Amino acid sequence: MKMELLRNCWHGSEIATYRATDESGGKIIIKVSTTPGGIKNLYKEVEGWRWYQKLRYPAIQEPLCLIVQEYKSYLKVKINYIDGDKPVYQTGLEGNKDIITRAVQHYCQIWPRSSDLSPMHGDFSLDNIIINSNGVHVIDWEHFTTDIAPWGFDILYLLFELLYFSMYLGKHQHYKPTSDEIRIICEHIKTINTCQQLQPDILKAPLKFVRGFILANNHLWGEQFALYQIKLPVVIFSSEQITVIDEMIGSRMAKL
Amino acid sequence: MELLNYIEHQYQKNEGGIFVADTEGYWSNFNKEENKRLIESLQYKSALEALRDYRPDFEDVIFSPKRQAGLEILQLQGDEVCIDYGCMWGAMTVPLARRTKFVLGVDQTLESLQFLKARLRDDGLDNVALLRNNLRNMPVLPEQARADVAIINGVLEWIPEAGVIELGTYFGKHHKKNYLGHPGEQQKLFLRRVYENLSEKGKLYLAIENRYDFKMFFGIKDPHSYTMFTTIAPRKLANLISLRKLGRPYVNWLYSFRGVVSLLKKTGFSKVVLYRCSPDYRFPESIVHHDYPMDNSRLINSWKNENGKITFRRTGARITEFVVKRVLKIKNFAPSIIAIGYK
Repeated sequence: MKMELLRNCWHGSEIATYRATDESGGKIIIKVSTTPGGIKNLYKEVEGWRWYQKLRYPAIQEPLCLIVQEYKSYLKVKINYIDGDKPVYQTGLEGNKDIITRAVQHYCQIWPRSSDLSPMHGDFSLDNIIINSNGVHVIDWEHFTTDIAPWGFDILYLLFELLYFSMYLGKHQHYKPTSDEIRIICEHIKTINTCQQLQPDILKAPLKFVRGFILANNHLWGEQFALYQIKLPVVIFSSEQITVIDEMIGSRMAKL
Repeated sequence: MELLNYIEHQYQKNEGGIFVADTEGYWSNFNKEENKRLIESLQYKSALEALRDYRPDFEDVIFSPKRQAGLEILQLQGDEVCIDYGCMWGAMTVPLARRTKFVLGVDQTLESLQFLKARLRDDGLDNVALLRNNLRNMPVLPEQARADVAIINGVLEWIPEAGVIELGTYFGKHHKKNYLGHPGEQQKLFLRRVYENLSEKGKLYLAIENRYDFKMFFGIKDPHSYTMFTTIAPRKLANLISLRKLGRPYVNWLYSFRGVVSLLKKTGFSKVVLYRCSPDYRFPESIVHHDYPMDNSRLINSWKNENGKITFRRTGARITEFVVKRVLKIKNFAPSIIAIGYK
């Protein structure tokens, strides 16, 4: 096996991620941690993959993610390698129009349509999506939690994270979103709401809901949240920005 | 455990539970007074709390989980017996103990081992023994006591050093000194003993800076001698630079990728697998098998220096990194090397 370190405690996590390639070119992902926080996240990863596999890959019997070594304070998991393209999240909403549409469709297809609480990926970022000829694949389930979030949380998070990147990572940084950015968000919220009706208070103020849910449940992201808030950039929006953005979305949605 | 039995028979244990050989030495980033206060406070504080009180700037160096990332290359199975040569505060010893059956940590500085002992106590790790010994004086182990894994993490380049070294007053400072022996030969002798003390299918993990790290061509100072151009210059010229700047010969020999292979082969290893590592082997962000081509990995050199100013040297390093990594895709100028040597 030839090993490559891909990420080492990235964004304040306590997990190292590797790609291992065998003699015949077969690849797997290996994740390792030796800290209580990191090990907890790896157990969540295994649980998340188990949940996702049942719905996304029902024909595959062998587990796509499993524990390979487990000691008192060491955990190593093996995950099937998915070859494909990773979207460039830095290009924001404009640069990922088609991919966002596919991600929204994927969320609507996979996530159970329930009026109660839904499972949460917890880091539903474009950086954790792979696209290939077999469609959309969601990876990196380190923050998976069962039946914790109202339906729609993850996909709304993805939209607002991309809005953040559009506003702050582009050539022209802007404090207030452009009308084009709001239009893209509203079109997707409309699709999401058609697929499963969002709760009225979520629809009324979606960004306030996403940020509020994260802040109220920040224990789900552990110390990583306290040490490295940029991991979840949506929480960096100011209260003033949130009010403005939600108002812009509200008035645009009324016209759709 | 044969290795532990051997150590128990050969060496006395001090009152702190550390095995001690006759030879002693001192190599530490902390001076003796700092170490004394740190060790005293371990009686009523955890190792982490004590460090935060006296040298919080070293918390990451000692405790960061990033330090251990290279160990996975060894593909450990959990039943290995290991020796961590020059273990210091246990940046590799502790994570190694979590993954394997037994670890012997060896270091010449008693204070570092006392700190490590407290870490092991705090973490409830009972599969580690510590031995204070000069690494150049390691005995030949009987066959049944040989280790499956040897770790030499940032240690080989210090092997030719001698005497008490308090790094704060030694690093980059003029300090007249003479050495006995040839640096390269001393490194070879040490590696030869490491090789002898490995079991039949034993593996060596060697991490060291690349002599030809591209930054060195732009006058970034050698992280061991704190002199410019000494790593890339021919050894004789490096000696002259060091004698002039520091008053002592240049002994912290580094190697190129090819040099590491040659050195390990000369000391007996039958096969050497290389990995390139950046930004360095201590806090690696990327470790790549050296057979793999260069990818579009992130550029690690900033345009600005530590004071936030754009300087000629930084600009040069940034441009060179871009050219080396993205245009020429030259692999042999990577900052650090991890080599796995097979017996």
